[in-house]
This record gives sequence, C-alpha cells and structure tokens, in this order.
Amino acid sequence: MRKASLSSVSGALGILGVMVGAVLCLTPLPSSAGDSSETIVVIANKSVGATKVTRDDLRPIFQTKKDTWPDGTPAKPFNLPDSNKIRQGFDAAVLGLDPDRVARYWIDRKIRGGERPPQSAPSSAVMVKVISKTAGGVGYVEQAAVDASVKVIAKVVDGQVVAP
Amino acid sequence: MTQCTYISKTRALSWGVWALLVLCTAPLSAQDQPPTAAEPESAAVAPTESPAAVAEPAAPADTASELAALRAEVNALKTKQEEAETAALLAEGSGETSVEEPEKLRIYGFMDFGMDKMFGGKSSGAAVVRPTTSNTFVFGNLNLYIDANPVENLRCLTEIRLTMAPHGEELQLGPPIGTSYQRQDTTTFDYASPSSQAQLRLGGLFIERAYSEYEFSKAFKLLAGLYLNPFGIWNLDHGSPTLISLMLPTFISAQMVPTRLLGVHAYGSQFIGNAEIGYAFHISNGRTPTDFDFTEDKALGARVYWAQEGDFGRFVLGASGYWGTYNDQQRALDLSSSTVRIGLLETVAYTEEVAGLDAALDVGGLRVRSEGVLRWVQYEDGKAERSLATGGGERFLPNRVEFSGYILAAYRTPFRIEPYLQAELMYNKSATLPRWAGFNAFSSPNVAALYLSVGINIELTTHTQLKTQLVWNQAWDSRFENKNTNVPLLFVRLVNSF
Repeated sequence: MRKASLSSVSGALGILGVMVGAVLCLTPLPSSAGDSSETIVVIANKSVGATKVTRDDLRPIFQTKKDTWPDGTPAKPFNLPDSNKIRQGFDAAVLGLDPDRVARYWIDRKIRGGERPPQSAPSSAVMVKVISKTAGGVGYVEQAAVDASVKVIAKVVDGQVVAP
Repeated sequence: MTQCTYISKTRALSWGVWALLVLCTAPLSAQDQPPTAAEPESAAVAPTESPAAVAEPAAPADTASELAALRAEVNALKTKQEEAETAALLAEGSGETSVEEPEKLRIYGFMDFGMDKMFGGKSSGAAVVRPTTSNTFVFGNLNLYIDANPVENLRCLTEIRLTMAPHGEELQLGPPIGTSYQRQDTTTFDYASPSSQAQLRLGGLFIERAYSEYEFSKAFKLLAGLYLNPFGIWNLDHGSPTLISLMLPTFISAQMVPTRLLGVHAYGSQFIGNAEIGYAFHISNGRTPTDFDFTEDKALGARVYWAQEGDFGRFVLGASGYWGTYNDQQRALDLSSSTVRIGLLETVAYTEEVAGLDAALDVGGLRVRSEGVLRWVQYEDGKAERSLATGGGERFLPNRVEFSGYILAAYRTPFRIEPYLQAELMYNKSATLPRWAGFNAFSSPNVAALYLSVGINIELTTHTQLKTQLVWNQAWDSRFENKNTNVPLLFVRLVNSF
C-alpha cells in the first residue's frame, strides 16, 4: 500500500516536472523596466499646495487608492502609455514594478473589482497641457518637456524619487 | 416662512445669474466650439483674435475705454479658448492630442481550462466526493464582468459565471444512500437546427456578484446588491487569475462563512501617514436557503485592516467577523376554515458567529498569505440540521466549533515562474458532500483534514498563466484516529484574463 502510494506520488511529480520543463522552454524572459538614466520630472498643477513630495506620497495616488494630497486638496493622477519609457521608469521608481508587474497589478485589481487605473495622456506634450489645466493634476514627463505652466514637485534620478 | 422667502430669493438670484451668463455668452457661441483634436493650437486661436469689432475704427473720445473693453473681450475669449482646449483634451477621442477618456462601459473577465488527476485511491474518501478518479480535462471558470460607470462616482458591477452545471451532477447514488442512481441531464434537442438530431447541453448562469456602488470618497463607499463577503483575503481575491493556488481553502469551499451576501455594504480606507486603515461594514439577509430572508434578523459583518507599504514591500493585517442566523421553514396551506391560512413549520434554526484573522506580506518576489477562521454554531432546540451518519442512516449535527486555517508562501522569480508551498488544517463537523448525500446541508460526519500543496505558476504573458497544484490530502475522523483519505491530487489550469 505504501509502495503504491509512493509510486503515485513520484508519478505525479514526474508529470508535473515534464509539464513545467516544457513550459519553461517557452517562457519569455522578463522585460526591462525602462531606461532609468533619464531624469523624470514629476509635475503638478499650480493649484497643488505641495512643493515637494516623496515616493510614499505618490504611490497611493498612482495606485488610485488615494485621491487627495497631504493637505487635503484633490489629487488627480495621469499616466503616460504603458510602452512609454518615461512611464516605465516612473512605475519602477514609484510603484516598484516592472512593466509586466504593472500590467498584472491592474489586471488583479480589475478581477477583484477594484478601481480603474489613472487616465492616460498620449504624449509628454499633452501631459504638460492637461496637468496645467486640471486642478490637482499630477503626472510626469522628461525634463525637456517641462514648461512654466506646471510646477515641479519631485524628480526621479537613477530610479529614486528625490526632491526637485 | 422667513426661511422660505430667503430660499426663493436665493433661487431667484441664482437663476438671474445663470440667465445673465447665458445672455453674455450667447453671441460668442459660434466661436466657442472646441477645436478638434487634430487642429493646431494656433489655428484654433486665430479666429478669436479677429472679431469684426477689432477692425472698426473707434471714436477718438472713446478710444481708451473701447480699447480696454476690447482687451477684456479678447481676454475673455482667450479664457474660453483655454477652457475649450482643456475640454478637447479630456473629451472623447483617442487621438494623439487628447487624453484617453474613461470608458462608461467595460466588459472583461477571465477563463480557465485544464486537467485534473487523482492518483490511485479509488476506495478513498476523496474518490467518494470527486466525480471521477480518471484523468479528465476540465472546463473551469468563464466569468464575465459588466462594469458600468454611467455617471461620475457611480458604478454598477455585474460578474457572471457561465458554467456547464448542472449537467452531469449526481443527484442520487444507488443503495444504501439512495434508491436508484440519478444524474442530472440537461440535454435538449436543438429545434432551431435544420438537422433533426442536433442536440444541446444546456449550462447555467451563476451570478457571482451584482451591485451598484456610489463613491462619496475613498473613505466612504456605499454599495447595495449581491456582493462578495469582505471576509479575509481569499474571498475578495476571488478569481483564478489573482489567486495563487487553485484549490479553495476549506472555510470557503465548505461555506464556513457565506461567500456572497445580499444587502448593503459600506467600506473605505483612509491614509494616516503611510499606513492605510480600511474598514467594511455590511448588513444582509445572511445565510438563507433561498434568496429571501424568512426572519427579521439580519446578518451583520465587519472587517478592519491595516496596510503598510514602503521600500520594504507591503504587509496587511486584517480581522473579520460575521454574525447571523439561519432559518429554514416549510409552508403549508390550511384550508380547514373559510379563510385560507398559511401554516409555517420551522425545520432548521441556528445562530452562527464567525471570526477570522488574516495576514499578507509582499517583500520583493516573496508573497505570503495566511488566514484562520473560527466558527461557532448554536442550534435552537429540535431544529438542528440532519447529516449523513457513518454506516448509513442519519443524525443531527450538534452545536459546535469549527476551525480552518492555511498558510501559503510563494516566490516570484525574475523569470515569470512562481513556485509555492501551502499548508491547510481543517477541523469540521459538517464537511460538504455532493447533493447525493440527500440532506439540505449536504453534510457528513466529523472530519479533520490536513492539506499540503506544492505548485508552480508560470506567467506566459501578462494575461495568461499556467497554474499547477499538487495536493496531498490526509483526512481523519474527529478523534484523529481513523484515516480515510491519503491520495495526491494534481490540478493544472491555463488561466486567461481578457
């Protein structure tokens, strides 16, 4: 009886091993989290009271778990498209997730019945324009795209959120 | 009276202001149309800078004042232009110059398909409760979400599972438990087919949840309808794409706590520094034999949690509770008098209290989940549930305490492969049996069980996972003396979210 039980267990492990081995050959390698060497600038609407924010301030806002700034005023986050390198660098620095994990994160939230992700702006130029015209708006762009219509509240340098 | 007068005056005033605004803006309406997304900004602005009034020569005496008026008009037009641009950016359309508009209606979901294998043990307890011991392909979940946001802050979410059930369900075994073998057959002829022999196997729709929710703020959301009981971690994670292992913990599969409830549910969370404090409170029909509640007693439930996220990762500690009554009754018509009366016979009545603790930890690739659940059941005299007794026959279930708990640790490697280990202990006096057991509670005698699992999940794409779980199930009677199950089970599922 014990022999039969052991053989069935080893058989199960064998089948599992063969299946996993076959799938491993087909498994893609993880994708990179974007070019972190470029400085990313976190911008906000001029109505936002904060002059500098931290990763811990930004994370729940971009997870749509929090919709106010520390001073209680409304916060409205905007993302760049998933494939944008600036977006990927921002997600890695603020959410601590690579692009695949970000995608999984929002799929999981969706299946659980949670809130939707932030709205997306198609380009840095549109991002700056939208942030400048949306009360409480917050987003991120490359350094060169920033103009005087928005305020800079943080930067991402070498994958770390730092004061502007 | 004074207040009414005040209100009517303020209303009149506000209507007056609105009328003035409309009159002021009406002549400009032709120029107020927002530029299309593709229009360059300069092209959109240009017409506003050349109104006819600008070209007309002004009388010398009024030049300064008219110039000031024109400047004011131009500034007003510029403001309107900017508003129009913002509206265009946020408006419908997915062009390169506009922001993606949130969809008012989304349809999405998940499905899984796979294979089950039970190794040996055709005479074991597991063979009794599973429909087959042979290798079999399995059509698992096909869940569709209809997620509507008709207006801001209002959400209507429906999740429907499409299933092959009840086709194939065994309703009765042969003696000694039943009189003759019966299996559900939903096969029907496809009368719409040109072929007279075409057949269909009808499946079913199962409503996982359906509710309307209004978000007053992140700290207070109110929903009404059929919702998932916010008890612990697993019941809300809920779907095969989000769950780490495939087999449900016993406290969910055996319904130690009702997984779905019909009622009203308030929940929310608030950040205090980096800590997120969340709560849920709900009032519902509770556990009921039908969708109606036969008594005035409503069930109450609550959950609180503390979540902390930082550079280290994230952890969550939570506590959940549920209190409710269960009543079943039979109705009969009394025609003995001239007035028809309905007679009620209460057959089952009990009070249940369920408490749970849960913890979740995410550090790097490591994910740990653990939940423990205690349930107390107290019957009213003579109104206990019937149960299948050892050796045939039936008995009544006693007042009892049940326990179930699990711990699961998984590690996400950088190669999209996540091995995991899981251990679960369950002590229960009413393990769930299929319907052929023949009782309303579908319950069996005392049972204690230990489940040890090992599994590997492989993320083929962000939307596709191959999930495996190998489970050793060791069950005893409640005195931990007689083993009645000792077989490994293998589950494999290809899970897609869409």
